[in-house]
Amino acid sequence: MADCRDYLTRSCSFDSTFEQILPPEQWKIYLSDDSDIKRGPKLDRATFEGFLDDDGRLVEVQSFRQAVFRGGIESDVRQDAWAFLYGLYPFQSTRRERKVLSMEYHYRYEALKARWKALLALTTPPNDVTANGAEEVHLSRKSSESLHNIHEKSDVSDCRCGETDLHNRNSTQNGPETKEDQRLQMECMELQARIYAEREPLDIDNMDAFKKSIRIIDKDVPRTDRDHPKFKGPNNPNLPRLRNILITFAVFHPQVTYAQGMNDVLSRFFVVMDSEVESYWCFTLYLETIYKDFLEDGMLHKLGILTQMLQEIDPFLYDHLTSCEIGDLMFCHRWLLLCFKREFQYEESLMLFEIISSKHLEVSSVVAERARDIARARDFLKAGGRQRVHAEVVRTDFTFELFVCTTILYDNRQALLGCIDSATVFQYVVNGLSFNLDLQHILCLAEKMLLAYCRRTAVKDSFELLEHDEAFSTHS
Amino acid sequence: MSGSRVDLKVVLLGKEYGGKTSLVERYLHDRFHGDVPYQNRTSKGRPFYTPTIGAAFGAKKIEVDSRTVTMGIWDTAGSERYEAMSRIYYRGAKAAIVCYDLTDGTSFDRAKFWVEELKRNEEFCKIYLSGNKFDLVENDKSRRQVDYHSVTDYAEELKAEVFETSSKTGHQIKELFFKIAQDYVKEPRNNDAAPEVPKTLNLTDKPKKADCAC
Repeated sequence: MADCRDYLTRSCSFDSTFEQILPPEQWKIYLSDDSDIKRGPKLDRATFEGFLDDDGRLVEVQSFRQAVFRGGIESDVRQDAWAFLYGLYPFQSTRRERKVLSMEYHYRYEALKARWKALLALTTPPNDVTANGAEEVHLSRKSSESLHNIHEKSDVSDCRCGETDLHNRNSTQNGPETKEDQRLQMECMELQARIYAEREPLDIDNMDAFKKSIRIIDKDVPRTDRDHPKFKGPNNPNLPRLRNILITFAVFHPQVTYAQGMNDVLSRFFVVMDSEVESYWCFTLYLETIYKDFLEDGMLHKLGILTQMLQEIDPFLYDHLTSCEIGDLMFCHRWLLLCFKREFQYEESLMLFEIISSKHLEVSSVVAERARDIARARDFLKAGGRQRVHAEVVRTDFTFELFVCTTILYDNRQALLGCIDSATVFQYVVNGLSFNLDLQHILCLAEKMLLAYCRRTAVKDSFELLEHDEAFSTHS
Repeated sequence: MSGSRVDLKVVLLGKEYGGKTSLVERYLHDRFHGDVPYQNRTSKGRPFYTPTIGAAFGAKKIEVDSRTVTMGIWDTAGSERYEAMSRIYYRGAKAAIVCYDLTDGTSFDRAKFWVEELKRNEEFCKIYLSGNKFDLVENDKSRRQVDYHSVTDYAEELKAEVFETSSKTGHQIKELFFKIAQDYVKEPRNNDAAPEVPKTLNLTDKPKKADCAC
């Protein structure tokens, strides 16, 4: 600790341009201990249901995000919470609407899957293994899931949301439906799903790329978290399900296709959602927001932003890494691609994933704006009521996820400053830090760092105004 | 292995599932897990043989002609979509092990691609072609998809070395790395007395939890 401070002091005395470096005393105060930041309990069932209205709409969105951010989610609530968090269901949807959506998702997924399977069967000689994965038996069993089962499943998941039959009847606007109505409704839905699937662009001329994806998927799937109970043991029936999901995604996203690491991302959704259909949609909706990470340019861009952040927050460490010829921070690639999945034990990595996905604390969020307001107000007072003009640049691309990266580097700066070249840095970070990180400590520090960054951008030239006791009282 | 700076940067390039990670694992730790149908974890919970994301790194000391050389080995992700990143990883390498899978003809095409890249961008990088999974073709000639002699013909033009290796049996792996170290020591360019670097971080040091609890 003492050494870290020394480095920090040195970094400041080296550089005379005040703007570029953080005043060491303040920065140290902000980050020196965890006591100011309170991590919360995990979001439990009762609290989660408190965020819903009578019809099951998630009305308290901010409170929901905040609760997820503060403590993560209890494992028995995760499935329901993730369905909202990753956009499977709109926050404003009622239970009844979700039931319909759930069926629609089922039919659409099955139609998409059927389409590539048919295409593959047409274009593949019968003895080619890519068409029929070794465990095809499981696939057909799953895809012939009857309507009855689906219905049952929806009921089960609704029960998990705390819905009672009474509620259900009350919210039914058009009176009780007959069995015949239901059947017609489902047939109609199935037909619509097929039309939807037919309309999804599918590049038939690019069968080679498609089959190439399948070959890599077939090699990656058997190596996906096989020590997790969900995927353990020989001929595990969930493996063909992972395969189906990954192929379906790859086929209908020809600009992205399949990239190694997607299996890691999917594994989380599969473990939590516990259904092929829901995992597919959560995975797809999530991937559609972060697919650029799986393209080289996108990842290099993201690493570039991280580099700028480190440069701004800890220029001395940045300069040192640059002198080690690793200023591009390539060693953070895996952290960012898999959202730290391989750096923590499974359960912890799930928690970090949902905390980052909560988007409660971002440079652009209300909490951060409040921190900036307070900094500005204090500055205003200090200046004797004169309004000062600040060159304020709010970097909304400085995401919480990137603050977590920077925090880990900052927290290990002493060791990193001792590294002599890219090899030692790589060895230390990629081989050494994995499974050696204290998640709660990092989350506290990352939060402090983000808030301190916001205050600093609000009143760049009067950062010293902020006193310790007020530094962290603004978040709630 | 204390306080050593890497003398010799070695990079592994080649198509995904061509056996790069297994080759490094065999050389550094003398073990092979390729037959295990699913991933094992070390006592610390770290998985092996999951697809490499970004790159992995390992270091080993090797004695050649009474000289100790510290080799830093960079194992890159094989995916074609990370070409620019691979370029960053091979920058400054003194040796490249360009891997291909003896049972997969297309992997040799990919190897040629990397060879061209290296020729163009890394003048001082020596190239070693490594045909992996030799155990699979040793007893079943029909599985061989890459002909040994066409590779040696190709290598001759490049002044590259060819090894056919097996991470399962260890076949030719020590020989491959020894040859790399030997060539490095023999090369006059590498013998200019490099300034001694003060001992700073041990390459085999493992960080401790909350090492620097700022």
